[in-house]
Amino acid sequence: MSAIPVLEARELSIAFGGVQAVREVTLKVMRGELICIIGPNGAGKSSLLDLISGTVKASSGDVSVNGTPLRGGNPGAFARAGVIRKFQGTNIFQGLSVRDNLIVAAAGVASLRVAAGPSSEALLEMAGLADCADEKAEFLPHGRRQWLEIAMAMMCQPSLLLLDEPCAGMNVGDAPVLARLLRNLNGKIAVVIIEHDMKFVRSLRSRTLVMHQGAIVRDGDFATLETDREIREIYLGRRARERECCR
Amino acid sequence: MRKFLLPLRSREKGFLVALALAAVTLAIVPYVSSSYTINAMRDAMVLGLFALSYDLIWGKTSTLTLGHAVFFGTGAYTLAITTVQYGVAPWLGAVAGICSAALLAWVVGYFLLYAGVRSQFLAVISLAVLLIVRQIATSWRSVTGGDVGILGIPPLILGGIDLSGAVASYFAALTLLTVALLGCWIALRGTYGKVLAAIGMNEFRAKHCGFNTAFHLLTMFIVSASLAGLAGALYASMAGVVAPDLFSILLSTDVVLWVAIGGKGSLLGPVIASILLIRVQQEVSSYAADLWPLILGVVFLFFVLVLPKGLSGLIAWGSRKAGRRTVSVAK
Repeated sequence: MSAIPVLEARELSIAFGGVQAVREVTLKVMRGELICIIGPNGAGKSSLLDLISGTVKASSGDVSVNGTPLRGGNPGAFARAGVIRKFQGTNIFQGLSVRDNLIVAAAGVASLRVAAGPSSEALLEMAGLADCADEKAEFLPHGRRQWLEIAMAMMCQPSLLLLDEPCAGMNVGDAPVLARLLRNLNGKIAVVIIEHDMKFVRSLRSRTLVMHQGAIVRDGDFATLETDREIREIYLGRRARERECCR
Repeated sequence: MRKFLLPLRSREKGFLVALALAAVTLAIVPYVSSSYTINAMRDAMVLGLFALSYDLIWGKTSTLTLGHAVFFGTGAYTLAITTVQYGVAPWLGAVAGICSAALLAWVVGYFLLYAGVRSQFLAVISLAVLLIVRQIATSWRSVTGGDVGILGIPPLILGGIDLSGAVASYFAALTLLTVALLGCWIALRGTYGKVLAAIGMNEFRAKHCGFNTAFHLLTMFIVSASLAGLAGALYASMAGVVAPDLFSILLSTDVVLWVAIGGKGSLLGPVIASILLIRVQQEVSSYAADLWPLILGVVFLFFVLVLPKGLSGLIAWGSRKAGRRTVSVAK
C-alpha cells in the first residue's frame, strides 16, 4: 500500500500557444512527503500545479492519484481522489461567512471519506479565524484569506495538499507558524508547495525541486541546492552575472 | 431526516413568521373580497409558484435564464393535451405536466450545463429554447390546436374535492404554494443551500472542493422546471384554456423582475413580490394598459438602485432595527 505513490505524474507537458510551459515533467510524491518547488517567475511552477490538481488538461503525459489514472481538466475528480489545491488567497466563496466557507469545502468530499473530517471549529482556531467566523469572507484582508484557504483545504481531508504561494501577503509572524504546521503534517498528508519566500522554504528543510523553463532541473534537499552555483545562476539570472562582470 | 431538523436561528424564525403571516392574510382574502378579486388573487398565487420555481434556479444558484416560461407552458400544454385530446384524468394530466417540464429541463440542461455553458450564453440559449417550443406549439396544429390553442380543459379534482369553484381553487392554490415554499425552504436551509450558493459564487473553487457542479446545477434546474410545470398545469386547469402566448418572453422576463424585486434566494420574497405586482398590474391595466410597463420599470430601477436585496432585504433590515430598538428600550 505504502509503495503506491500518492501522486505519480509521467512526462507531463503543456503548451500555451507557442510557449512550452511544462516539458516532460515526471514526478512521484510518496505518502506524507513534503516537497517544495522553487524557480524563477515563468518557470512553469503554477502550470505544473494546474496539471497535477486537474485544473488543466495536459497536452501529453498522464497523472495517477493513489494508483488510479485520472483525466485532467476535471478538478472535481482529483479533489474526490484526495488532491486538494489551495489557491493564492482569492479563490474563496466571497459571499459566504468564514465558517460557511469551511462547511461547504468539507461537504464536497465528506461522503467519500471513511473517517470523520476535522471539525470546522478546530480549524477556525488553528487558522486564527475564530474571531471572525461569522463575517463574510470577502471582508477578510489578504493574509487572513490565505489562512482561510489553508483551512478550507484541510477540511477536504486531502491525501495530497497543493499549496500555491501560501506565504504571499501573510503577516511576518505567520510564515513560521505555517512552516510549523506543515512540518507537523509531515508523514500524514503529502504536501507540494510553490513558494518564492526562500526563508520559508529553508525553514521547511524538505526535498526541493528547482524548475527552469518548464523542466525540473534539480531535485535534492534545500541546503545542498542553496550552495549549487548553477541554481544561483538560474534563480538570480542576469543580475548575478552582471554583478560578477562589474567586479 | 435529522439534518432537516436543525435548530432554528433567529433569521429562520423570521422566515417562518413571515410565511405564516402571509398565508393567514391570503386565507382571509376570500371572505372579504368579490369573486373577481378571488379569481385574480388565485391566478397571482399560481404565478407566485412560478416565481418560487425561478428563485430556485436564479436566486439559489445564480444561474440566469431568460426562457423559464417554457416550463410553465409545457406543464400547461401537457395537461391540456392529455386531458382534452386523450381524456386522461385531470390530476394525472397535472402529473404528466410536471414530468414533461422536468424531462425538457433534463434534456436541455444536461447538454448545456455539462458542456459548461454558463451566464449570458445560457441565458440567450434558454431564450432560444423558449422560442423553439413556442413555434412547435403554434405549428403542430393537430396536437396543440395551433394559434387558437386548446379550449375546454376540465378543472382539477384533487382527493374528491372539485376545484372548479372560485373559493375551492383559491385554497388549493394557496395550499400548494405554502407547501412548496415550506418544502423548498426546508430542503435548502442547511448545508445544501450553502453549497448551491457557493457553486453560484465561484464554481471553479467548488469543483476543486470535489463537487460535481454540473450535476448540482442540473438537479436544481430540473426541480425548478418541475415546479414551473406544476404552476403551468394549475394555471391551465383553472383558466380552462391554453394558447401559444403561454410561451411568453414577457412572462420569462417578468419572473426575473419578480425575483429581483422580492429578493434573490429568499423564496418568500419573490412569491410576495409576484403576487403584489400582478395584482397591481391587474388594477392598473384596467385603467390604462400602457401605464404598467412604465410603473414596473420604475419599481425595478428603484429596487436595483436603492434596495438591491429586494423586499426580503427590506423586511430583514426593518426587523433588525425593530429588534435593536426593543433591546435599547429594555436597557
